[in-house]
Amino acid sequence: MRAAIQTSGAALLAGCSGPFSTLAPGGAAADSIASLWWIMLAGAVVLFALVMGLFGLVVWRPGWGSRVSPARWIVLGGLVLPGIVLLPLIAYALVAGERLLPLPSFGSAVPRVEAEGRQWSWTFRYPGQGGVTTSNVLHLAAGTPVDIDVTSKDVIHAFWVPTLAGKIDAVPGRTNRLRVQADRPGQYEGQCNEFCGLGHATMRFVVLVHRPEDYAAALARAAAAEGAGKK
Amino acid sequence: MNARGHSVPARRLWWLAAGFTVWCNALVLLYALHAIGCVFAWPAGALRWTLVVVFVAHLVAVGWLWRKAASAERGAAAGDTGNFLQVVIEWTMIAAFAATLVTFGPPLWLTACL
Repeated sequence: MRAAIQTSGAALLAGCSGPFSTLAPGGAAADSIASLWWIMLAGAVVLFALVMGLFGLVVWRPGWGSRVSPARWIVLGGLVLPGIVLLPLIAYALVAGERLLPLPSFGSAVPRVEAEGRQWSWTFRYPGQGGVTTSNVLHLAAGTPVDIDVTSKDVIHAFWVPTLAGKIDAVPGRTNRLRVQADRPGQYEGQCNEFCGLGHATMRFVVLVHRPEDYAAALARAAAAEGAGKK
Repeated sequence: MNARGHSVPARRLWWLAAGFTVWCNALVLLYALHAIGCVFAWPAGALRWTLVVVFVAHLVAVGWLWRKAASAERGAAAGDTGNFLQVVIEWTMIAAFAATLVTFGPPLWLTACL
């Protein structure tokens, strides 16, 4: 029994860290999503503890609370309490969601990268860097917000770098935009997040984040090396 | 017939679904208008005001249903079942009104299209 609990506990907690963990954010958007998750978890824990507490009182102290009328129990427990927890959660989620949108920024243009999914790989094109392309490796500059224009050549895929931002669908004939920002240089992992055929599980990619001053040179080297490899 | 011999017309049960049917209609209409407006690049102000008008119209419709339901006959003549049904209908209308307000109101203040 103990072994089963330990095994299942370890399996559950394994999702809390690692390159695909949304709870280890590496950028502003992922940080906002992780914060929302923690706040929703806190709200759920409060409600769960309260309901379990009331359930325990019913079991161990029969008759407790009988002075409160059934109608009042329904209004307080079914309307007032969820209202106190859920309405602030809705407000927070709406504000947080609004901040994730790739709205036009005033002052400076946000760099763009075009991401095209196909069974079962990703191609990234950099219009601001002479239109060079890379396959299955996305190059970004640290501390710079980038708009990823995501589309697909065949079936529906989804672009997702869990530690940097939310996911967005790659739909044939349509371009969806996702704003991504990595705070620190390093290597991050991405994957297709929409079942797209037998190779779906292997449709992963790497995000290499460079220091801003190294970005252009690193991207040019990567694109040249890829071009040479194809010849 | 209920326990005291008063019958409740079957059509009265339709009132249970009325409030949330309006809510469903608001969902479909607002969703469709929003999507169509963004795809066809309607002016932001016109799209937002269209959505607001549709939202308010549905809110008024649920409010009217609520008022109509609340004015229905109550008391001994309706019987226990009739009175119980009346209470459930009124609270269902209140729930539909609150659901319409909470689910469709706040998004109208957010960015409509990218």
